[in-house]
Amino acid sequence: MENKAVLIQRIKESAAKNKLLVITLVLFGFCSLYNPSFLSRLNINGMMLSTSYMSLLVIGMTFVILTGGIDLSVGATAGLATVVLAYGMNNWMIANDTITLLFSIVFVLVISVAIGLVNGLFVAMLNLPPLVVTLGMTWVVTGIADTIVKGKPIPLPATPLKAFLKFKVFSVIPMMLIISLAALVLFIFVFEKLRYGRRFYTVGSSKYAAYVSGMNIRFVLINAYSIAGLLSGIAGIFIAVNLNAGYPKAANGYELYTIAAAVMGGVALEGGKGKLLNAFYGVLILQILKKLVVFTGLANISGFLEGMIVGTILVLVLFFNSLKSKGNWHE
Amino acid sequence: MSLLEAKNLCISFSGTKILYDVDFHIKEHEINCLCGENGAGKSTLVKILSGVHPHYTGQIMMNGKEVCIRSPHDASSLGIYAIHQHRDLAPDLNAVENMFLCNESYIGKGRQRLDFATMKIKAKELIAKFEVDIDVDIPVQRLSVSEQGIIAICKALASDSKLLLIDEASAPLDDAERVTLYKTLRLLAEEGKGIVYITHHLDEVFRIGNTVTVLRDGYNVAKYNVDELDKAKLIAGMTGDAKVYSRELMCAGEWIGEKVIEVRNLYAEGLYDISLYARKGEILGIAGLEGSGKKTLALNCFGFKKYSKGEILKSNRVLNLKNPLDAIKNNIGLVPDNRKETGLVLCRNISDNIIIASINKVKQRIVLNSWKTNIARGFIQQLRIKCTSPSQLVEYLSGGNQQKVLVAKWIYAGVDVLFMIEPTEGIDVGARADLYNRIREIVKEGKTIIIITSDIDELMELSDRIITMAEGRIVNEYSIEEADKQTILTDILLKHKVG
Repeated sequence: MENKAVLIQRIKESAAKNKLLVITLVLFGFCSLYNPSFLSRLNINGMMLSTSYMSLLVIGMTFVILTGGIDLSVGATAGLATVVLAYGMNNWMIANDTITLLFSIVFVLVISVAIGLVNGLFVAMLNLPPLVVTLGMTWVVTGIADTIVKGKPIPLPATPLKAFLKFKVFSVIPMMLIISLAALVLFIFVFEKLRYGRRFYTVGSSKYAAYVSGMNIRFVLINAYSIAGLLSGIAGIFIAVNLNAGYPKAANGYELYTIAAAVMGGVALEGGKGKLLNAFYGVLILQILKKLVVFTGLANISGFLEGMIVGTILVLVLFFNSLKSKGNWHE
Repeated sequence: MSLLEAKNLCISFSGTKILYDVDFHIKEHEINCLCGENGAGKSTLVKILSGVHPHYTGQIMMNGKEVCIRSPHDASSLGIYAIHQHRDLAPDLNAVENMFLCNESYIGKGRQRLDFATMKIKAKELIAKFEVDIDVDIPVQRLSVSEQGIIAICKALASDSKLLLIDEASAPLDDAERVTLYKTLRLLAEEGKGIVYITHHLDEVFRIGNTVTVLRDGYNVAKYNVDELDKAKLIAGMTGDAKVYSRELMCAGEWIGEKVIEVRNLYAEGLYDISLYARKGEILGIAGLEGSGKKTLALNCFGFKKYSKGEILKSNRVLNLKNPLDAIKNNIGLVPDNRKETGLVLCRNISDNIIIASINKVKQRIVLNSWKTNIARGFIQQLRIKCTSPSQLVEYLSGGNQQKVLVAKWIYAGVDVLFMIEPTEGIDVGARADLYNRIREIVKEGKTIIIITSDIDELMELSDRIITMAEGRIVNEYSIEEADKQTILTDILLKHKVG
């Protein structure tokens, strides 16, 4: 009897610690019970694929938000990545197909880091507001992508890349998801254990404290935006493989989606606070919420309900979070 | 040989010179107390030496070699560590991480993997010296002010620097913790470190200092050994020769009328049993250091903070001030100390800033440009605000003129009691005299002005009556005839308890 009580107590404690995981599981359980076709292969596979690129984007976004900034250009960068990848594989002919493929991938990564680097330079060196810098970058990047495709999506040829990323380990889990989860674990380690990762927390928490302690704030800021750029490039490659095409608006709106997920996971927009793992749970919760609308039949009433419901829940989460720290105009 | 020697240090901020050819030196094993009035340049000197203000001119020598300190990183690699006046902790990080910021322990040789376990043990050892129990796992913003103060000091101890610069670190500590701090500092000095200690508590100077460097208005005054010094001599050094006031005592009282505002037995956070009054046409001065409660008192009277006990009366009527709007409705105004952030709307023009507090009283529903420009013109003439036109942005006005715009705002709002906190902070001498004249004119029209400042010269020049405050209590009250700079300074400096 006593053992049981201790066990329940333990479960309660760990549930309180991992509130978001509990919410994710509860939502998942609810959906599967309400409509068993939620567990269908097709649906689960789709959710795993989208989780893989959304979690890459949320890692990048967490880097930037932790420093107190924001990056609106990740969606556009991912879009440009899909376009450049498809365009390169179709139009460049270097030695053989494999080398063309590798070159295209490297080129995509270089471009996306460059975009992040420019964002970072403007924010760190010129002290411009990140919101405006990255908003401008969104339009620039989308414009470049539009110029390349000239209005039509470019189909992605069948390559080993596609086969590799869509290969199913144990014939269930796509390789894409495994790569993303590996990246997630890696970056959680970076954030929790490495000097490099803790710097982002310090800069976001107090730039003054970071400065008087002898930290190079500009270096940290530029790194944050560059990593966000790099990860959105990789996410773009995943998206291209998923869609089988390169298209400027392939990741349209994903930046707001990832910001929402990060904030839901407790990454504070003013910087310095939040855990990457919780931001990942935020991604899962948003994914399930979207599906929930479909699988509970609410979407039959109107397809437009999806956004409304997801938005309402997001605001409610923020509301309950803010109850803890009430606003104070005095300080 | 000196551990650190600085010669001819000069620095200015946006054209105003703060330090004039300051020389400074400290040896190993020395605890040097840096003394001076507010604005004498003590904190600025510390900030230069710790690399926060890189644009100084002059020469700094460390162990006889000339060095350049252009960033906090430079300073820390030279072995200089500063605790600044405003706590330099990252609020979201926990105590352990804050104490070892940029000075971390690592696992392995890579200097990348942080060794939290070792750091935590070291942190607990340092904190244990103060015989307190601090939770090192929660963000420091959830710790109390005194706990944060201890963490800041432990951070300095953890840095293992040769030279420690400590700017008012003891302020948030209680008596027992202060004793520990003194003991720790003396031990460090015995180990061969140099310590520069800034304090307002003169008792502290005599308790821990070996030497005292005195600054006044950005100039070096002298360096003394503590044993050749007493409090009177030190205060005289800080204040300088008694100034001859240019003020003709304008037969005060001629236009002073009945009590307008009265505070009776007020208790609030940091305030104990405050009772005072101000009369119509009077300039009341309140002298006190930062943390003496003088600012809290003004904020309470302006409805910005809620007092727990006591009452505030206006023309013999008890007020119930819930927020600043209540205060404005009762014709009480406040010119805050941080005018750029809390007083003015910098990105709007003069006329907008003048009508901002009275916008609810305006009868017209539509605010016409010509109407507000006319109002602004009147004030520009009356207060002699130097500007190109009423539509100039206040951002581009000089400090003195910005302050006049704030005064104009309250006059237009029809206040008859105006609190001014540090009214001439960051304003140069010429503009000061002008502002003083304007303030006197306003008072003659039957307004009451309460000046709250740590600048005693200012109070001596302006006020009709001076009240001194320390530790949240009123110490003394002087009429201007009996007031004397030395006594006032003694009041506000020495009435602080020191353990």
